[in-house]
Amino acid sequence: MTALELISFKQTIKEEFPENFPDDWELISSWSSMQMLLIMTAIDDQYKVLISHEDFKQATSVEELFEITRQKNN
Amino acid sequence: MALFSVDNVRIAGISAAIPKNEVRNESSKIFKEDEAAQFISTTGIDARRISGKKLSASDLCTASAAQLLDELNWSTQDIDILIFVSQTPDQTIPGTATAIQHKLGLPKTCMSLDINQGCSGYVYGLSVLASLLSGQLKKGLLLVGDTITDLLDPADKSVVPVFSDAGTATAMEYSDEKSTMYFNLQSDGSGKSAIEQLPGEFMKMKGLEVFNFGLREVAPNIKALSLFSKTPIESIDYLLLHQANLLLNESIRKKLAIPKDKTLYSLNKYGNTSNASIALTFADSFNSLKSAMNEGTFCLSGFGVGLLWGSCIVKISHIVCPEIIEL
Repeated sequence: MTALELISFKQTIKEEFPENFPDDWELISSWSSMQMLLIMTAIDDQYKVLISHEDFKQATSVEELFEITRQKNN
Repeated sequence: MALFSVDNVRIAGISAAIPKNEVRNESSKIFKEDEAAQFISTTGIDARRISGKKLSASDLCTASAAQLLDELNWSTQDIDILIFVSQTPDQTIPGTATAIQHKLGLPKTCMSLDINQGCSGYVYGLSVLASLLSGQLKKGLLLVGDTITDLLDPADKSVVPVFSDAGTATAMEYSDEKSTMYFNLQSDGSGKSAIEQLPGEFMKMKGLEVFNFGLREVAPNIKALSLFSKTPIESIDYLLLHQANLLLNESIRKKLAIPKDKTLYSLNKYGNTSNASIALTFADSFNSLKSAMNEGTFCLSGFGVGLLWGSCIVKISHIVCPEIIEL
């Protein structure tokens, strides 16, 4: 995992939030189910990795979700 | 593998009926502040039709079947098979197909069959009816519909703004002309709890699980069918997916690289009408695009509760498709 990849991953996630996204947007517990659907679709589209509902439960932050995505991508 | 073809059967007509009662998500009290706008833009669902327990799935299907028989000028006495696909039958015992057979005035020589299936039910029903008609039987009706809103908890935001009610009828007949329908049908009972209604409870849906399933399974199913049927994806004239939600359907479409203008939708007008959505969308689109849709290669795909999913590639031509009835 390089810093650049994480930055790009975070940008992918951030784009799925409305303009007035909350300060705690990097915490998965703050995401609505609709945001999770959008993020699942964006990760699938961008990284060809399908995040499951268990992955969303397991990860608490965008960094942890990135790690799961990276592992699934390998 | 349930990848197979059925020869010498054609779809002669498709019709649909919906409840008059329309509700809009835009003004729904189930949402807080700007939630409704985000929901509508993401799912594509605004208007929905609600039976309100005044109409059953069999009422909607029977009305659309009667209209279709009339428009086709088919005698009820010529119908050899009636199949009713629904998760909301009139009652548990007996099945509802025989009640519909009687209401439509079909003869006692007609076989009647109930199938309990949701969003994949249209494609599964087509496969059963087509298989029976490719033998010695001549004409059949496939009635597919649900009043799924009867099963919902009025406070459940994950299902109430999504689902809607409708009933449809599809007329099929044996044809001497070379015509082949191709099917790829699949199932995975390990996902049974993703959408379920336990006895005495409301229907519940685990949205993320269902969404994940749709993203994972539908496009590969269609690609396998495309190879099996030797129908390149680019030669499909119309993609007609179960109307689940816009986000999922668009993702599936992009995975298949099918242009948007070849993809049919009715989500914004009728929501997710469960097993009725494919035939309802066909009827809605046909009535807007008439001449353009009079002949073409269609890819139909249903997916959902079960988990069950299946697709059909079929050439449709000279089909009768009356205006959608409101009851």
